Amino acid sequence: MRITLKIFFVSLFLSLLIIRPTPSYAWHRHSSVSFNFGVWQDPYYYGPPYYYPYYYPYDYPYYPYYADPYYPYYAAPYSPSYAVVSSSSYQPVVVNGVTYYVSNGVYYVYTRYGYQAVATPAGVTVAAVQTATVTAAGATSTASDDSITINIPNNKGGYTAVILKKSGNGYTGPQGEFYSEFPKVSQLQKMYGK
Amino acid sequence: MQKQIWVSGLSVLVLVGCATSTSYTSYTYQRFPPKDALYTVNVYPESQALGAGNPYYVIGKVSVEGFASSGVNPGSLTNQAKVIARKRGADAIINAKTEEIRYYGGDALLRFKGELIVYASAATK
Repeated sequence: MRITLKIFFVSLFLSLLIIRPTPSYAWHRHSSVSFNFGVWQDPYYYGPPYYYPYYYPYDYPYYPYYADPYYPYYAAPYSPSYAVVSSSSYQPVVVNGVTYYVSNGVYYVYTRYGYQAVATPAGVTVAAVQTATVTAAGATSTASDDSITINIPNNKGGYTAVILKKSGNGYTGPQGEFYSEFPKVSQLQKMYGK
Repeated sequence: MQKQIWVSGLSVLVLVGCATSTSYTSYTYQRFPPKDALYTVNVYPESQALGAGNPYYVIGKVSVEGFASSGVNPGSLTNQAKVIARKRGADAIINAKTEEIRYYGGDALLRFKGELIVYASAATK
C-alpha cells in the first residue's frame, strides 16, 4: 500500500514537471490566472527578455500577424517569421517607404518590444492636411481624374480641404488611410476637422 | 458547522473571483520583469495621447469587465488593470476608457480597456 502511494506521488510529481500550463481562457476568460508547475517556460514568463529560437531580421519592416479575428492571418512570403500579436486598432501607413502604425493619432513603428511611439513623420505633416478656408456653406467637393477634394467643416469655423485619391476599388486619404468606400463627411471630420 | 463555514467561505471566494473577467493580448513576445505592488501605474485616458517626447513601447492591451450588480465599478476595474499592468511589467496604461453596456433589466456590464506601455529606457535595460 505504501509503495503504491509512493509510486502515485512520484508519478504525480513527474507529470507536474512535464505538464505544460493550460491557459484558462476556457474558464471565464481569466487569461491572467494561469499557473505553471512545469519545467517549461510559460507564456507569462517574467524573467529577462528572451528570444524565440527562430531567425528574424533586425531591420524594419517586421511582419506582424494579425491575431485579431477581423484580420486574416498575414505573413510576408519568403520572409523569416517574427510572429507578433498585433491589433486592428493599429492601422499601417507607409510613409517614405517606412511602415508606420497609427493608433489614436499617434504614429508607431513596430519593434521587437512592441509598438514604439515616434514623432509624426515629416512627410505626413506636410501632406496630411491641406488647410484652406472656403466660404461656401456645408461640405463641398471637387473632383479631378483620380482625386477628389472635399472641404470638411473644421472646429475653427472654416473648412479643411481633404484630398482623396482613388486607389483600386476604394480611396486613400491624405494620411495614407484606406477607405473601401467613399467616406462620409462625419468620418473625415473626425480626422481632419480639428 | 465548521464544514459549512468552509463551504460558505469557498463559495464567497469563488463568487468574488468571478466578479470580473480579464483578458490580455500581448503585442510582443518580449517579457518584462514585473513591477512590485507599490509601483504606481499611471493611467492615461484615450483623450490624453502621450507624445513621443518620452519614448515608450506599447506591449499589449488589457480588458477587464464585470457586472455592476456584482459590485464592480470603474475604479475597481482600473485597479485590476493596474494589477495586470504590474504583473506584465508595464509602466503605465494609455488609451484607457471604460465602456458601459446596459442590459434589459437594468444591469450594466462595465468594461475597462487600455494598452500597457513600457518606457523605452526601461525596456532596453
